[in-house]
Amino acid sequence: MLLRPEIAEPETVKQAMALLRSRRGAVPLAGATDLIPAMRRGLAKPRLLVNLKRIADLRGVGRAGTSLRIGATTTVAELLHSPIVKTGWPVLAEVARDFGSPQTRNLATVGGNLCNATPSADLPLPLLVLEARIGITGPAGKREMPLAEFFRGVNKTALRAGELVTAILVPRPSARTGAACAKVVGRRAMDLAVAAAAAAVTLAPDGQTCRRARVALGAVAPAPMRSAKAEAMLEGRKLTPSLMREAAKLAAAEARPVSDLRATEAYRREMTEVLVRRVLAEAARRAGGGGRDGR
Amino acid sequence: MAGEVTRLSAEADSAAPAVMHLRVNGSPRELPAHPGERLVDVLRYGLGLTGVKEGCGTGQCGACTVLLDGRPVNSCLVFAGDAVGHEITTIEGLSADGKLHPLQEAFVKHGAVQCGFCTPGMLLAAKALLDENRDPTEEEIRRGLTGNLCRCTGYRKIIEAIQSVAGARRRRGGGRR
Amino acid sequence: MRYRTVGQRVPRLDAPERVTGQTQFGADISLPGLVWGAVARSRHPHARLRAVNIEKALRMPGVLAIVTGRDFPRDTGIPVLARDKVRYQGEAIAAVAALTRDQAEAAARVVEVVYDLLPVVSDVRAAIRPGAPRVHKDEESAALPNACDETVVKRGDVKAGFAASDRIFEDTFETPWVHQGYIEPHVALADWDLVSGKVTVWSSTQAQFNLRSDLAEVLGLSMSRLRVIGTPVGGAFGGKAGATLEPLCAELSRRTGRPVKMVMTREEEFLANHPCGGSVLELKTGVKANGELVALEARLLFDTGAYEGAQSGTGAVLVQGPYRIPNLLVKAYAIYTNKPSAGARRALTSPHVHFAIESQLDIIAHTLGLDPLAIRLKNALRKGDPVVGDSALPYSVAAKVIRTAADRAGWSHGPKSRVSGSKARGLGLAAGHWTCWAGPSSAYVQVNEDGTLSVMTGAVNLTGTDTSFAQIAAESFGIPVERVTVQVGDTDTGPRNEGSWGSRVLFGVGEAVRRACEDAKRQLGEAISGELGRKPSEIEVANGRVRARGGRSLPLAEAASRAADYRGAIVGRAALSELPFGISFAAQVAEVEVDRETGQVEVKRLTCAQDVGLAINPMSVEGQIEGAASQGIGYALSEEYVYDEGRLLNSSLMDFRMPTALDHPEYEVALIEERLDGGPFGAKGVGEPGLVPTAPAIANAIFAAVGARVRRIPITPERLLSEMKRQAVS
Repeated sequence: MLLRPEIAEPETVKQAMALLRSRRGAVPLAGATDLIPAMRRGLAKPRLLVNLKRIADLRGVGRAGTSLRIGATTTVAELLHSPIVKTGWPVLAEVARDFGSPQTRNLATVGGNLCNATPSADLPLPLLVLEARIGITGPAGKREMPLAEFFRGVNKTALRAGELVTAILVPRPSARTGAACAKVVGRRAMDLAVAAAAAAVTLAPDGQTCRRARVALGAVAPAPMRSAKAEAMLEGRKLTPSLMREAAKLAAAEARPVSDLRATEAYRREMTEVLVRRVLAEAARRAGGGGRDGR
Repeated sequence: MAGEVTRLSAEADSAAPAVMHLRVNGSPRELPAHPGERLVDVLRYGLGLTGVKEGCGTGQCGACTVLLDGRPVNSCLVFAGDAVGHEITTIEGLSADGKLHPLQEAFVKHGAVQCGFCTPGMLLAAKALLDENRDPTEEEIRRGLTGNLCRCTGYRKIIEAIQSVAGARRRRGGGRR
Repeated sequence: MRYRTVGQRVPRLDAPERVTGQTQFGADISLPGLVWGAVARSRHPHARLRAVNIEKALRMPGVLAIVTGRDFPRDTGIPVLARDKVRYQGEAIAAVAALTRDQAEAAARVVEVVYDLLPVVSDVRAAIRPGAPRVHKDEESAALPNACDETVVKRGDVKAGFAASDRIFEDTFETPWVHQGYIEPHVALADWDLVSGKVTVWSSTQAQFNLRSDLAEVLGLSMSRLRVIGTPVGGAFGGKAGATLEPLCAELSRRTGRPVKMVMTREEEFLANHPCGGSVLELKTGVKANGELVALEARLLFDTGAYEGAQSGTGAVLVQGPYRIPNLLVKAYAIYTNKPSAGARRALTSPHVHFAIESQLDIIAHTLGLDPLAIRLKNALRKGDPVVGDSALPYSVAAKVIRTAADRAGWSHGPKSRVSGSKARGLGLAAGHWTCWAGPSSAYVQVNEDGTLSVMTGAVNLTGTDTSFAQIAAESFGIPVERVTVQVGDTDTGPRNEGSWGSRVLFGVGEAVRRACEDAKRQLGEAISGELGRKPSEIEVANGRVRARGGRSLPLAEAASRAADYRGAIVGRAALSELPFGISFAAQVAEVEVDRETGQVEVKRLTCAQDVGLAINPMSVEGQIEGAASQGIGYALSEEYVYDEGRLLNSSLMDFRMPTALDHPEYEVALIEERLDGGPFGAKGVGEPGLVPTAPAIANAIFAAVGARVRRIPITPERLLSEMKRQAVS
């Protein structure tokens, strides 16, 4: 209850895992942006914080082959400012720019944001439509899974006891791929989205037919979700405005929003349709520009 | 009953905290502090740097902003132990040898200070903004200040002050930090 | 008239210490032996307190003392700690002193309270229903259930007025509970010296003397045993006007023999300080076809929460707006509910009632096919018109303020909508008025032996008025402003002052400073008259010199030095309790951009005009207007307390959303200077009027952009979209 938990400073992932196993009430520490306020109010009472930020393997943005590798403790600011991200996966930089404030961007980590798994989290959506995979390590060894399988519910992920997220891998988008994100918020910064959407479309060489579509929705379900129905409607077809409108309707129907102090279920569902339509149009425009999720 | 004291309990922390080594405003500082304390508390109550304010404790208002290696963070969301090994800059470190930083002068001159409670955090955020982006647009300035709430000014004179410093640097051809 | 210092954009004299972080706010104060306090608060909005058990809390580490309701038999109308009943979620039940803040908070969390839950009075509509549960059985007026007070304003004959009207409009408007939003949480320290019996209290209060008065009553002390020191305030806007933490700190200090400090958490600020109450405003307005206002009948319900705080009088007299309305019948009530005890907020309930009348005026204009600017100019108050009930307005300036705002905003293009893709833009105009009054104000001015001046008031320097006082004093003597220092004394050292609120400090205290300077100059003249060989009445002090008319003059420094020797000291003083009645007018034009598919609203530009009498410090005056309007933007678009049967759902800055830097528009500010007799150099109060027209200007702009009228603020994206769809269907 008193705000003085012990903090351990492992230098390797192996040491970190051993520390997490060593005691009940041992939890990983990354950005602390949610943890400290919870501790102040007496809601979180960790006995031991295992600080992940000094572990070199978990830090930073780099490449793994042609893929983008984001270390789990990469801050949102590092993501935003990374030249690799700006040129190869610019939609990630766009979402990072609208995340929190300059101060919280310097503290919040990509891994932490994903592991918190709040329904309205910003970062999962572009990562989902870019088909990111998440790397996990634990007592039973290493494993990897599509990010789409990682989120299990409100603040629930696929992590098992003693496991840590090590990195997020984002494959290089194919040619003629465009991606875009959008959200509806009540003030232009520092707000939780009442609805959010991301889309990535890959066009066929004819520049009109959708070869692949990925649509992700945020804040309208217990966890960030993909809209399989919208994706199925779009793939293999020419991306006309009316088709995109139809797909947006399907996505809205697939959403499972709730009413809370920020918005009603009905509004969230309606905004899902608006946002999916908009991000599809923008993603298609960007794909047509010939880039790989470029301009 | 005057002077009634109900009960004196034993100190909660039986062990005295270990000495923590921090680098604050360019100088090494040593003090007894627990790494699990919040940085805002160590700075304010451990080192007496009360220019660092607390407005909410949840990273929303930005009054507690300090720079860590030149980057703005909410010190209410940082464990003191995490600041070890980094350069911490508080408002007390912005002026040097009694001379105000150009941003501080501009804030004074342009009327960007009313109650002054948000001001230390705002100045540090502004400094970090200009250090990273020498010639920001108005929108970029606003984005750089989204983590600092001000209820007194409507931000207009704050933005004008920042623009005046950026403009002066531009005219001087870049200028020093 | 040209002045040398008055009218200059003098940077705030205490700004350098604020930009270096040297200003010692309350939370920054440290005292030897200091211990911390924390408050245990009610979890329920309405309940009888069957038991309050502090045994477990007393055994917690570091705890030194705990107080409960029975330790405070006296109060000033609001219990210091709840006794047999709690009337809002967050009401204080017990206070703990412990060695550290964490220990105090931990102990407060284990105070055991047994509640007998009572039915919750959730809002004003529920409160006035026949048979509604009562928040206070004995204290209400007979007018309505749960009515705390009632104000009736009558003028002419509304029945006849409606009969003579061509059209009658009936609309109901709603405004939310909001927090004043200051960044510094309320803080208090108290040191009860058990040997001398003297109690020193530091507080981020707006009103030192009022606080002393309240504490004297609560603690049963004489005023000379009580010293209240107002610490620099990190924003208040009306929310730091009551005694909340102070009696608790004092009593805990008495019991522990240690100084006690308490700082509210942000959550406590939301739950349990004195936020601004909401309202339900029913207006029935009769007009002629040409837009002339004939009659207004209104029922105004102001939510005062659990205790007296919001009063009905202000809104009742201001709901007419800055307009000439010959027939008026307003019944206004402050209504108890199970919400925090409502406090003051910038311009009290003027923003509430102007949201109503200014929205309705646009509804009228639109329906009658009239320009919103023209209808306002037609009805704008002129000299001699009745205002604030029965008073006669001393001057005509309202129309000029309205026209200036419109002109600067390019109103000639009118409020027409401009649509581009999914976005639509529109302009909206609104006007407002606010009272200008002085209240008890006093000042000393000492002329130092070197001709510099030391000004002392008892007025907490909330808005930079100290700098204006320096300018006033400098102007009076004709010396540079650098040769004037201004201090705020505490209740032991400074002269009495009503609180720093109500836009009265520059007006009232500033005038007291000016008069104190005149008094000092008179004393100087008397002291030096022998030397100059003239009668005191022939001696004047100006331009830094003391001059005998038609004769010798001395530099001020020399005269001051001799006068001090001769007389002992030159200390000018002045005290006043009232000044000639005044009204301030403000008008704003908002340009908004609406996303027609989401309902999101962005304010692109806000043009503000305000009549300020004379701007002693134009930079400071602009800052007040920009800041006030900034709060109006939040009020219009995003700020509201969200309750579920008396339980506050959004007690954090993440969920109570104030506009960030990105949410603010470009401002343009026009100051109209038509001097008001009575204020220093013709200046008027300026801090509050800027909040009055903002929300309706934005609501009117939204209507211009998308043709949807939302009668409830904040106009969230969802509320707007809902209304847009409703209009499209009908």
